[in-house]
Amino acid sequence: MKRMSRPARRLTAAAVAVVAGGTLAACGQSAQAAGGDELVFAAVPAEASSTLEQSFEPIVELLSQATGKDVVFQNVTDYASVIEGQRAGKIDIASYGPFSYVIAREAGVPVDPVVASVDEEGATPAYYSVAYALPDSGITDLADARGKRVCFVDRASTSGFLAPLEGLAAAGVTQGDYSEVLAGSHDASVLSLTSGQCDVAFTHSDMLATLERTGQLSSDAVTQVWRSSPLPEDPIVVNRETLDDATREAVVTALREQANKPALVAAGICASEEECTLPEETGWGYTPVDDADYDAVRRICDVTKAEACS
Amino acid sequence: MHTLARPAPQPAGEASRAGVVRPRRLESAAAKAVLVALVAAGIWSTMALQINVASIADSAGNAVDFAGRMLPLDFPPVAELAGMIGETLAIVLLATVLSVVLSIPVAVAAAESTGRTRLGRSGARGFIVLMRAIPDLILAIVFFRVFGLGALPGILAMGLHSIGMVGKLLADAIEDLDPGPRAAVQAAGGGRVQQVVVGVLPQLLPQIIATGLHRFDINLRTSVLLGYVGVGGIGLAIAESMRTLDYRRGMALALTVLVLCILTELVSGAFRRRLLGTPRSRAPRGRSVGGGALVGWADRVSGGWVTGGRRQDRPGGADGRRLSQPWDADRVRRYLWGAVVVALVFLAWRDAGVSVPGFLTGLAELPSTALLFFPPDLSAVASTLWPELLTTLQIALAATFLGAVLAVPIGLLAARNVAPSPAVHGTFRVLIVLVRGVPELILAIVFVVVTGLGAVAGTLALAIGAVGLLSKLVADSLEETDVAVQEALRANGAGRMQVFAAATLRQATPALVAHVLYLLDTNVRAATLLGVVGAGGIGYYLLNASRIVDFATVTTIVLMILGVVLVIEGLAVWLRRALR
Repeated sequence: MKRMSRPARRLTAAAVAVVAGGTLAACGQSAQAAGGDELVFAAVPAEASSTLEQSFEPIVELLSQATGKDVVFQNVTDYASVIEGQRAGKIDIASYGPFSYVIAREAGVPVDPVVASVDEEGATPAYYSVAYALPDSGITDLADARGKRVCFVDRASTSGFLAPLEGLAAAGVTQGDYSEVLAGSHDASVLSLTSGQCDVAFTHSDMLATLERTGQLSSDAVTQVWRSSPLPEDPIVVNRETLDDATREAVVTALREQANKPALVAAGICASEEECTLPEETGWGYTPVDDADYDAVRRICDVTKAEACS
Repeated sequence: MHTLARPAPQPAGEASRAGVVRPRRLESAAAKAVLVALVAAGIWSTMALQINVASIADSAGNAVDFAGRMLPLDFPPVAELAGMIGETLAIVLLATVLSVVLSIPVAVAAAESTGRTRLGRSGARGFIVLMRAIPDLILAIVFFRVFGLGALPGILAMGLHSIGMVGKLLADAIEDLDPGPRAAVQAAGGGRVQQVVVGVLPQLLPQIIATGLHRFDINLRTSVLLGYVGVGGIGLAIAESMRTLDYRRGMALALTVLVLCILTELVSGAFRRRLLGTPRSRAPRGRSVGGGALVGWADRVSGGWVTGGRRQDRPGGADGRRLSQPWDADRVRRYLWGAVVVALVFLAWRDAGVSVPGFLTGLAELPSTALLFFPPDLSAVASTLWPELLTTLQIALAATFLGAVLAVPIGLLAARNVAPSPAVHGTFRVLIVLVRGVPELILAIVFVVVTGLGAVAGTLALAIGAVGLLSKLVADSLEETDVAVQEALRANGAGRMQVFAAATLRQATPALVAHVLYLLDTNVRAATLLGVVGAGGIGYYLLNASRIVDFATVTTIVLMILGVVLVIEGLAVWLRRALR
């Protein structure tokens, strides 16, 4: 090769620098190798959540103290990716909807539910799906939804689609007896009712309060015409395969016994109960659950034969 | 995407106006320092996000596993699929037409040569930048609240957001036009509107059509993402399938979108040839390319881009002595195609079922809805949003760095005047056309499944997407260099490498830098949106804020992204000037 010209030399030098930098970046520890020295905790906001930030800090701190490992917390919008992450062995601990848990479990992902949140000690963790109609519409129960336009949230929503399907079926109304409108979100479902785009709207039991608080709807603008049987709250689950027994035991014990405001204060993680903020505005803390608590969701699947369940 | 005007063509007159002699050397040195800093930032981000061979190797098993769960693909019944495709195409067509119609006056007001006052120009430019900064996803969420359900929110969201690109390109194109016709109209006593209608628009028509078709293609991809927030069509079906982990159906639909994207390129190539009346028998420069059918196909898809050079799209000029154009076959054909477009828009309008009364009541509610977004809520900025914005920036920087590392060599090898042989540039051009066909969201979903959650997936998806975008731009700008300079060097006995470095690259550098910065800008906005599929960063908060009806925070996040995008724009303009 001839001696390079100056521009060519400079160009080569630049190219070499970039490649060297790239090589430097190419070597290193893999991101998210679950089960190593750090635990990966992924959380999807609950359907009924109304806070921007999920205050998992106290729980993360608790788990970190209990296991002696770094806990990496990850917010996720899409629970399908959490289920995939669990399947791939990249997520050790996760918090997501009851329905996501059932899907994951049915899909053979090795997870066990540990706890779910309650507002008072000893309460049963539950929320509800509700149906609203306009006060003067003459609709008083779900049987009246026949032939009407019905607003749901989306096909994978527990309180916005699946529980409602079960409720409709119990009232003798099946898919095809009404025209289905998928609003895309819980607030859109209720607002579509008031804007006249549907006659019945399903959502979770806390949405109306949120809309009222933000001044978008007064609570007497709509009438509640149905409430579901209690739906189990979002579980926190652990991955059976990515954690060694000792670590898993430590995580389960910490969550079941110390993931509540009094215990967190006693452990010095929170300064006081008032200042202790838990995810989803939980009033007291987490209480133990097991797989059987989620049979209500499985029953919905059996009744509705929804695509989301398979 | 064919004759994409460079993302940031150099405004004509810039050079001649610079009566002030800037300390060029200092500025040039500063520009180089900034470039080095950008590369360093890219490398640092890549390292910070732990994007490395180990992460990717970790996921090989998952990829195989995912492929297993994806196959066999499960297509919906033909009638259902046709319905979805129809709905998607209707929404995308209307959105694109809307954006072009709105962009023309905005571009005229924004262009240096046609804008009346400095204030008006800045205002129009500001509007374009704002439209670009607000993601269509957010616009869609807002419009769903204002106009209710249906196709309208999606059309308006994509239409308005598209002004950010269409308006910018048209404004740049207006500045590059031959000022003669306009000056002639002005000399003959024509008013400002007449000057624009007679002196600017006819000249601009090829640009308008090319830009519109390019944007149609981009909006088709975007419609997949908008499905995640409820905009109808094939995107919604994909979102639903993915949410219920039905990958067989989801990936079958994704494949349908891919085919649609490629067909769109085919059809738009044909359209451009017809509408613009370019001669169909172009003698390709260079020798013929081997590879037969695939090349022919890729060539058709890209409107002759694979074998031909960049064509100068100019409507067949009328001969000098007539004042009116003759109604020859070409002109009749052009008008017929124009009529076809109008008919298509009408059909799309019917298919999308846009209700005018609904639109009007929505408009009436617009002020009260807008109030929900103000004043911006700054409470979460310091604690949460800054670190997340940094993550988003890291994703964008790393994706741009990796994308450039992948795309620049591919672009070099696809350029006719750089590649060692026709076979090489033919091969790489086909590769680029293929990569361009895949919507980024589909890539992101696949990467999320394969590499797990978080920034790695988003970055890799964007990096691959960058190949489709950047390689083509790189190849085109290299081919646009003035060959006389190369010839001169060659005549003096310079070697291949010397010619490339001293002539080709030297000339193309400002354009290359502009393209890479354009990619960075695109990636910042794309990285935000990939939060939708769990790819980390500030996008998560953007979506979560709109989900919990906290619109004041949505405004804050949009403003933060706007700030970042503006800084990048400013940097791009300055670097282009400094490196010239």
